Amino acid sequence: MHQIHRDAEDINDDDLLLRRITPADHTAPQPDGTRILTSYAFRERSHEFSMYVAKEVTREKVLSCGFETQEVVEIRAGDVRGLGYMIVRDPDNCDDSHVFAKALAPKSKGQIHKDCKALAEIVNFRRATQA
Amino acid sequence: MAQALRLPNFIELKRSRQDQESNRRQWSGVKSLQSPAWLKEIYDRISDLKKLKEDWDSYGGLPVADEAISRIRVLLSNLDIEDMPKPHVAPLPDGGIGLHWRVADRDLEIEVEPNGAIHFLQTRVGGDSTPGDMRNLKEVQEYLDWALGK
Repeated sequence: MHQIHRDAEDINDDDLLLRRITPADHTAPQPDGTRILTSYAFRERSHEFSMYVAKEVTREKVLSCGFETQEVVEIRAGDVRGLGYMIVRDPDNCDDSHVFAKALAPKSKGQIHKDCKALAEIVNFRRATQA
Repeated sequence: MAQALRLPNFIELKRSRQDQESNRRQWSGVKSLQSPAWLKEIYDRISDLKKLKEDWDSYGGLPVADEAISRIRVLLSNLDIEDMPKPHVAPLPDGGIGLHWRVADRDLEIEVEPNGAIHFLQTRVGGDSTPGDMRNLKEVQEYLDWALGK
């Protein structure tokens, strides 16, 4: 049966969402020694990507549900919504703060690839300006 | 008895030099035979991806498909990549493999799907991205050349 998903209104655009990444797979080393996030960091088989609401969970808890080699990156909920996704609450075995981003309208693989790249570049830009 | 003085055979020496020169001219234009220093490291990395088990990304990612591995090896061994910097190689959650290059403000991601299909995402850093499909080696080469600013 077709499931109806709703955007979580209690998650504000300024709220941060946490996502586990595997640096060896999801970040690319640069000539200056820094690493940049690639679009692969937000890719999933389902074309919906998992995150946790930062104000409701600790980074340690999010990491504890992954592998030792993983790290956490953060993205604003408004950045995800701005690309045409809703943020759907979906408590999982790890934590009740689990959400996933679901496209408001069907998107092609290429469009999803493009959106994941946009999110990665937002993270890269914020890291660069904060450094 | 004193040994006879052995002089070099100048005719054979000249022929040998002519053959070497002819050989050099014949192959100097075939760029794909020149392998970049990083190629072996990348092949090793691709082989390592084969060891990934399901859920390697903690989000249910599939193991890398054999077809993706063989297709990406064919790509790398047939393209003119001598001048390219080392790509970043990543497993994809659907069993494919991704290659990523960033050269100055030009960013290129090439993906090989588990069934061997090839896609790309071309991005100007700070600007927009263009996704698309690649149907042959020539098209892949054109995007690599774009990344290098050729």
